[in-house]
Amino acid sequence: MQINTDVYPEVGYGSYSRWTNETIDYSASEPLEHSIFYSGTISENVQFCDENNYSYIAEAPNCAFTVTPREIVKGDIFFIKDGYRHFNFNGEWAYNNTYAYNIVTEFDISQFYFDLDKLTVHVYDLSQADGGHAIGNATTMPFSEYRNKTTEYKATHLIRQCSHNGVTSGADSFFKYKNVADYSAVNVVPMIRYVFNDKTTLYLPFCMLNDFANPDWQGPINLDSYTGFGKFGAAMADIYLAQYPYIGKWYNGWTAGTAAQRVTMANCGAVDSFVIKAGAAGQQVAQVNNGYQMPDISTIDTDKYCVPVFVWGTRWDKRIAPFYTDEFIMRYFASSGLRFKVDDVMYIGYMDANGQCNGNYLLEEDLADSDSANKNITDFTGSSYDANIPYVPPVPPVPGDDEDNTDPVSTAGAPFGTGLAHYYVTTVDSQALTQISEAMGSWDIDATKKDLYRNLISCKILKPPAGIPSTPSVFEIYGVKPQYNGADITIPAVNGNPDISFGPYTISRKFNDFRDYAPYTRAEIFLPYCGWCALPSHVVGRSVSVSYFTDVIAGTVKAVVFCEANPVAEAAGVMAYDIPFAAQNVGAKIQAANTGMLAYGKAALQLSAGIGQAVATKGKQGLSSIVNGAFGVAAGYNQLSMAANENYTEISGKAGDGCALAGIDTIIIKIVRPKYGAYTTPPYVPDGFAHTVGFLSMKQAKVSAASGLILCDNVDTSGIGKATDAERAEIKRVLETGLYVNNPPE
Amino acid sequence: MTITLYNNSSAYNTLYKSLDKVKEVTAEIKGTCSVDNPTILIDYTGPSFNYFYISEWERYYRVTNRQAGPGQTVAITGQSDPIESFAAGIANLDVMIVRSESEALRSPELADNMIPLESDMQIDKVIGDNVIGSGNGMIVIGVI
Repeated sequence: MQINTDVYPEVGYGSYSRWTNETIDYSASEPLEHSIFYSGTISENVQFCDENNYSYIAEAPNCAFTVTPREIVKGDIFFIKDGYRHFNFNGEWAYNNTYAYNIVTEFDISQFYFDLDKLTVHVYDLSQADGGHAIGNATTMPFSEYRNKTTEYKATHLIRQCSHNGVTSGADSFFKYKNVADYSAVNVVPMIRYVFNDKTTLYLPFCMLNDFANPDWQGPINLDSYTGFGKFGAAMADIYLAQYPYIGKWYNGWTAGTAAQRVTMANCGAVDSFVIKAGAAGQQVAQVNNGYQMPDISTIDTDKYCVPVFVWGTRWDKRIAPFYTDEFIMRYFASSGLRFKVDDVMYIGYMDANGQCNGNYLLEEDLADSDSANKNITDFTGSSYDANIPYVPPVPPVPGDDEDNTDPVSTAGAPFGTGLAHYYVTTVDSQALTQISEAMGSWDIDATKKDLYRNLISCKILKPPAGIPSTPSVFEIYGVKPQYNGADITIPAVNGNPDISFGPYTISRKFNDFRDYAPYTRAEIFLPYCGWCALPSHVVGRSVSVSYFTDVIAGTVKAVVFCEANPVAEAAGVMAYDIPFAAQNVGAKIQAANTGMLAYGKAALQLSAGIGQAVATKGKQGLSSIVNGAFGVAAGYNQLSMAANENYTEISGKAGDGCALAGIDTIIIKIVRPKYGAYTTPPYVPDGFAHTVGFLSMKQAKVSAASGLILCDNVDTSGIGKATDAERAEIKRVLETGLYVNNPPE
Repeated sequence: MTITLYNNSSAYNTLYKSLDKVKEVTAEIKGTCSVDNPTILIDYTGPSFNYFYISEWERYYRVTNRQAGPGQTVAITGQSDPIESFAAGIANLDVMIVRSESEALRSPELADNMIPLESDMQIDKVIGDNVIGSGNGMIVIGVI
């Protein structure tokens, strides 16, 4: 299949700038690697779930999907939609007991209205009111038992659905009214980076098809029965739909007998491999209506409509909850490099020199003065956009002016792999690792390649606080590229150390007096990876933030606590542990194969079961099953049937303890104060204290400025004219032992 | 001389007392007496009183003793109240106020050992962000 990319990118699709004008060939049988590409400033791990309770976790930016079975954890967002029946068109969340909106959140989701960090959370439904877009069926969500769990929710993405009529643009409605009046809302999705086998990269709006009768995510598309949509099919649908600014998804609304329709990607040439067939009534079969021809892009009023727009979800019964705030929406538009108007103010999505967006935006008037790759765009209606921005390697950050030499120096952006060693990063159970181990194991055991195992110098399992910056790469060891199924093995190469900041967190005062500070009040902070760390008490009443600086190679992390830009504490910890390699001469490998271990064909990364116990995860499955599964202990991998050769070398390793990763994963600030429970209201003193004892003052003032009780010190009564000495003495005595000052008579 | 009889409901150590006027009467000094602690004679029948003012002396007095005489004669002994007598002067004094009932004059950041503190402590928490995150982590492989 070929995709003619000459017609791309369209105006304003800033993220397409990496496209080349080449024709991309790829085979439907080969899976595509795709990853979420979106802003790092607003994004957390994007999580959503498929029909098997598998959650997709994309660690932004530019990280591959991981399908990892796990239990629901804090921060997960799930959305089940039975749409319009439960949806309040005013943009408020509607809850239905039958179709549970499984949101792991702080709030009782039986409420109709959420306040997330005091902001209104708008939840938009995925259904369509205009028919054909009904979604869902009667099956309740399997996560209903989590509905009332309390946890903190963070919006990680935005999903909404656009009307297929295309007439009512939710974007328009949103920007005009800061709300949407109906279902025809705008879907804004993060950009997906598709990396084809020839490493050509496309940046397209992310979209997953929904409502498949066959939820086989892995299988290739079955062009005859149209019952399976693998990643390829999804990608094709995405590519098609990405070009159409109005179309959302159709679900479950097509009646039997609807003819199979061929999807055409009119603006990029015919795609003859993708057809979706409607199923019987009630059957959950996705369908794309090819009656909607690709519009003439030049006719689209880009001031008014935002593209691309898609539903994002998995199956109907495990959708992703669309939470957003106004700012979030704006940043999502910006994350695709688009321009948009808010209250007649034009904003431009910020794009860096590599044509990648980070969700930041500029006012149009500031564009020319910025360093954005968008800066030279002057006409958004024509084709003046440069589609071939050359890649510019990121420049490591320069430390700040640091006049007081207290600014920590970030290690982010430090060059990687420029010396003898280079580092690859991937998820624990990625295919790349399996491919590497199988590829290396498939080498003939000869003197040359056997020794290459020694060039595996380190292997760590990390749980960094942020995504590890990386670039697409091919696995190479001492100049040799192991081949898997005749092709190079792609695995991202580390190109930086992730730094990330959290907070600020406000530490409120309680007493608003001396009791808020040492020695009466003390503060501590728990820094994940590092442990507890004392804080100076002057942080009370102020805000603190935490910056993590990491070292991927060493697997270490340093946390620096700032109090309003001043560093006040720091601690070091580990975010990884080693999986050491040890060369062993092993005996009969047939025996090893028979016990479920891979033959030495996977020996490069063979790990013992000890790993699983060393690392605690929140998942139901510990790391061991994942790692062992990836590395061949589990069944499912072809065992290499090799003749027993007692002279080969097996690399094996056993993980040590990784206690640092088995702890609290949340920053906690603990403030220990004098108990104030007996005094329930400010100023937290006994009743009558002010009138009988008085508050400490130590201020110079006229007696007439006071009200109520005052006690003075060393009173000078020389200003009282006609008093006798005895009377002055008495006046002095009373002022120094306690005088109640009333208002003077009128 | 003319004196004014009052009922005083305020404590002695009060500036600008609450004085309810009873009556103005004519008084005579009994013999000789001090300005601070005079005994004066008045011809009086009427409501009781505990406070009086001698205008010629510009002083207020607390009644410390009352003795009935022949007819309606009453001998009252008073103790000078310089707080009320010189209220205006006192109000105008510049003083170092050590303690004050008014929170407007309070210095809350100064340690006050008069405020009782329990030895038991209260723990408050601020829950921050999830740092480590969920998921099973990443693997970094170093090769030469």
